[in-house]
Amino acid sequence: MNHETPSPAPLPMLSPETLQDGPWFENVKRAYEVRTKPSHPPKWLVPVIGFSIAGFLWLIGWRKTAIVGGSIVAVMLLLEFVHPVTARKVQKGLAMFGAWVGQAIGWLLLCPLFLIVGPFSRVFTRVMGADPLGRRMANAPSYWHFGAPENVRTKNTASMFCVERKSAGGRNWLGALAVLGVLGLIVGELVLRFWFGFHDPLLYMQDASSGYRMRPGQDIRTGRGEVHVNNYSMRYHRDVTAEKPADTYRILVLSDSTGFGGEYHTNEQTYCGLLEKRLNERYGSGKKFEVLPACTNGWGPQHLLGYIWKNGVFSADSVIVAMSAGNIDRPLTSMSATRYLAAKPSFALETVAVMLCDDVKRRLVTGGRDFYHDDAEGIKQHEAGAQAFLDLGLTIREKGCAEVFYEALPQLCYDQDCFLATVARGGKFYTYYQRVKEKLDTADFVMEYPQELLKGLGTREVNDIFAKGGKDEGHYAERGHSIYADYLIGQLTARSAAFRKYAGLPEPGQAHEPKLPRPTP
Amino acid sequence: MLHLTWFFRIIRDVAVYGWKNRSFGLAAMILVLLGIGLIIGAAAVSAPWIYTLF
Amino acid sequence: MNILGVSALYHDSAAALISNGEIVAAAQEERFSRKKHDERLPLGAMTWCLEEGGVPKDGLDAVVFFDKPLTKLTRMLETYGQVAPRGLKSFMAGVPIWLKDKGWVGMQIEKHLRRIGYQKPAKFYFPEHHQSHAASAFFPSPFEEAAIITADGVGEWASTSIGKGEGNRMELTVEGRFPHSIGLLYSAFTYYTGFKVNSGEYKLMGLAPYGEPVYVDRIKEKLMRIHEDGSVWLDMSYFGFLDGFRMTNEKFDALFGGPRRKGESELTKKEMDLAKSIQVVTEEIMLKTARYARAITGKRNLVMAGGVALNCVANGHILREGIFDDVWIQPASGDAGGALGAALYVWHQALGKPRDMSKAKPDFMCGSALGPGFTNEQVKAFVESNGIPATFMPDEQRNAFLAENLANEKVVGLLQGKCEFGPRALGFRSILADARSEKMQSFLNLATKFRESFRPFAPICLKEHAHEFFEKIHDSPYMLLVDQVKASRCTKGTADEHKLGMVEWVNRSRSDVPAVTHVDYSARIQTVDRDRNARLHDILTAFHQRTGYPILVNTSFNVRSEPIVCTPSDAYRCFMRTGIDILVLENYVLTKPEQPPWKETKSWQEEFGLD
Repeated sequence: MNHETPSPAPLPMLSPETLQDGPWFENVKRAYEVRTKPSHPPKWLVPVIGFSIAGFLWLIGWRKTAIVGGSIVAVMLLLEFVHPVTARKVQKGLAMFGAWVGQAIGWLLLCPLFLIVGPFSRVFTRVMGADPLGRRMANAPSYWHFGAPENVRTKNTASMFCVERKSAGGRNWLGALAVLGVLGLIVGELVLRFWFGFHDPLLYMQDASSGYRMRPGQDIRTGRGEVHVNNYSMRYHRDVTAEKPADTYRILVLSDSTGFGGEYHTNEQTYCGLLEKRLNERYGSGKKFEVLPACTNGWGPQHLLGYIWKNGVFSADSVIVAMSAGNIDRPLTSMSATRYLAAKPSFALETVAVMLCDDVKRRLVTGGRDFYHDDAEGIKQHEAGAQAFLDLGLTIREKGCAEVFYEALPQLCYDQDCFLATVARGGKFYTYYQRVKEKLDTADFVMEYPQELLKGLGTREVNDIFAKGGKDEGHYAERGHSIYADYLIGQLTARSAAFRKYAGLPEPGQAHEPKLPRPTP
Repeated sequence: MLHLTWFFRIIRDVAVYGWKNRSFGLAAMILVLLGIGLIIGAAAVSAPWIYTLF
Repeated sequence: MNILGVSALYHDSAAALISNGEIVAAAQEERFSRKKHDERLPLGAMTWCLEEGGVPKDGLDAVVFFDKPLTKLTRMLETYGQVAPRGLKSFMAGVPIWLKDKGWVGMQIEKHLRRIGYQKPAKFYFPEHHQSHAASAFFPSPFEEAAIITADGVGEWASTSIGKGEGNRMELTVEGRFPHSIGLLYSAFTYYTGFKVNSGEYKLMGLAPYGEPVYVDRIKEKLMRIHEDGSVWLDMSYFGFLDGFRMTNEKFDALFGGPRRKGESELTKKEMDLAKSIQVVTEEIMLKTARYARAITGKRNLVMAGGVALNCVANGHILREGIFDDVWIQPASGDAGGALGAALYVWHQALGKPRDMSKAKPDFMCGSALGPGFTNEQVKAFVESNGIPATFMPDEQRNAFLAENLANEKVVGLLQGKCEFGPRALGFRSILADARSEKMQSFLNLATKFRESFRPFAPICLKEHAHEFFEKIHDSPYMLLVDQVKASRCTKGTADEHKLGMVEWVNRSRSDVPAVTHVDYSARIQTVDRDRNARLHDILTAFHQRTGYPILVNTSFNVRSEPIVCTPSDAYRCFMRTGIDILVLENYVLTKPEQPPWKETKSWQEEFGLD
């Protein structure tokens, strides 16, 4: 019998995929799972954050956005349970989007940082005489440096930084300061020019009658507002004639910086601009109202008097004199306008320099005296101001306008309860409006004191009404201008028969008395 | 917690580095960069929630 | 006390564990992740080191990272501040990475340790980069005292450092600072000649013997200044690495007559001459530095570390010059060794612990066999589970078998003992072949690298017989020294040899060990002694007994550009993909004809590009 040796069974094919690893490195393989199996956030995290954001948006009043956002979160939560694979894909897509946004923001923030700080650093170190990369030490006797002492380095082993031995040699501090100075000037110029608009300041000119006035024909655009000055130095959008157009009710407002409104508003946002706009909106069908603001920063009654003497009342039907108590005693020679430029500067820094110089000059020359002092000179000025107030009213009547309304401006810098009589400043009391009232009484002029407007206002309301978030107690923010415009409408309605007639309003007694408008939230 | 601990450690080391080496400018720059890093991180994390703004 | 050292985030990440001052484990991350020069945080290496050292979950006392991340950032920022507005792209690439990743390395390490169950270590340390290198050079060396030279591209600011070590203290005295760096200079030429920076420098070194030093004067006059004390200054107008992603720029191109060589294009005489020229310049710098180090430290021995210390040709010159009595070079001289050095620095320098010099023979590196090892039982489990035919042979039988087959021009893949720590294969994960064979060089290149190479292979030689083959250097345990093959063994070449193509030239026989003799009759030597690698010594002894030659070819056990194999499965894959005839896994011997059919299902040649 033939016994053949059976041929060995063929060995199973092996490949890199089928080759089994041996019993080693189990912990290492587990350690690598963090790379092969990326971790996902816990399932509850996404809906919790999402619904929290939606809830927050609801609370702050963004209701539609909250509903949309909350719905999307709810859909994603549902998807997580119904089709987790798709949910993961969506989350992955969102994560990629987030990474892209992060990268874009990185570029947006880091590029300018590099392009601004980098060249400056290069110039600065060069001027300082430092050479951190040793590029200028080709002729040095040796290129070895001494390291920090070993004991210092050893002590520092736990820190993530080296303690470096500073290389010998002086530093050109003067040069560095010069560079810093130049850079500061450049940065200052750019900021003052493009943020504050100081390169294009409002210009003033000397005037024999009114002391000074705004240069006519200016068109100033700052980063925050715009000012247009017409042919009569009024902050008004177009030139005007001394004679009013036919069928127009013209109101002339005589005021100071409060009426001017600040360069952080447009013409139309001042209370004079709003007054004109609202009058035309409310009563404008077939009628036309004009409100001419003869209001200039730093003006007092003497300036207004001079202005009216020179230009007349522009055939106004009503004249409103709205004056800050603190401006009453400004003499015609007050230096407040000289801090402003008479000609366009080449650089924004020039404006600041002029303003600073004038401030210094004023303090040195005038001894730092401002207008609010209680000595004999101060009282004399105050008397003159009060007299000017009276003369102003009389001149207006003389120039042909019978209706003159005096309004004390509601301002925080004065004690609201003592509005009528006293002002507290520096511990002393000045009887500003009291003195003015006594003068006005002699010619039957009436001055209104709108205490109601400011009474009982909360901090939030105050911050809303006054400029700089309530810090500027004498000037109005946009809301303040709006409230005062409405107040003036009320005053015209209450006090001006001519206005009532033109506007077609009933006479007092024939209809409800118009009430003073209260600030509303 | 780990992130916070190490974040404060880095801030501390940056501050001490600036002081010991009198390199205040560089230390300030690194702090600015870390701040930018936080903003980038926050933006990347919160960007997916951008749909809540629509 | 257990201290874990970590190097990461630049190239060649690694981890090392020392326990009460003794080196317990050290491994490069690439051996675990199988990604060459893996720069990521060494999760695998850290995990393995802790496991190998048996460190309890609450027993890790300190973690040491090998450099100071904050100062590296300040150096980057100061550099950008000197070149801006140029360098925007580089800034946008580098700074976000630091903010997101490199600056948080301590946190990442702690996070990983927690993930694998370890409690937060008591302390984190961050020694300086060159302190880590210096520590890796001095503390494992056999010297009680020595001068220290560390040289690389750049650490924080230092690019070259000179110091001294005494007992358990070391002190770095002087340093050369970025950007004036021998390492960066060499890398610039690596880049210009078309090789990859940080991995192609050894190719440039291997190319040098083909060229003439015709560019030396141009380099020294235009590119740089070299002082007698070895310090260097580079003219940065020729280099592009301050503000861009390139090492060189147009001015550099103009100086050397044209743009850089593109990747895989043919090497011309220009590249060879450049390689030779920069090699000459580097040797000059290193010699002067060594003399200066001797002068300022007064020490008779020298230890070296840092990437530039991998330049074996320069190292050989330093030793042959006799400036120092002896030279010891850290086998993991690159950044991987920084992990080990960082841990040792903290133990000896920061904590003041002594060195036990009684364990210094031959040195503290244990032959650099510090990585994963595998028992016969593990190998058995592996071969049995995969149905791989393998024969168990006791050592003596195995060695005789190998000697016989090597003598018959078979190629042997060897996995025995613990994996080497460092870039060189030292006989633990090696491919061995007969150095006497004229065709072996060509065959090995084609069989394992799958292309011809201009670089010859390196020899391993019994230490006691090294003097028979090499002129001066008779102790080179870590393959970091190049010496001339003994003239009596060399055959003179023809006058027109240089007109041959490089491959043809290198394949010419120049000695009785042609596979390991370079075109200039030099060889990169590894001497094998029983203290460091007894089993390899036994294999060589067996071969010596069989053939009369105590010398073999030793090349790294890997295919193309993959990392050196680590595990038996890595070794098996490499074995099956290449022309290796015999695979040795500890005491298990596998021969190619016996193996089952092997099927590749994806293109591994694309995965592991050309070397």
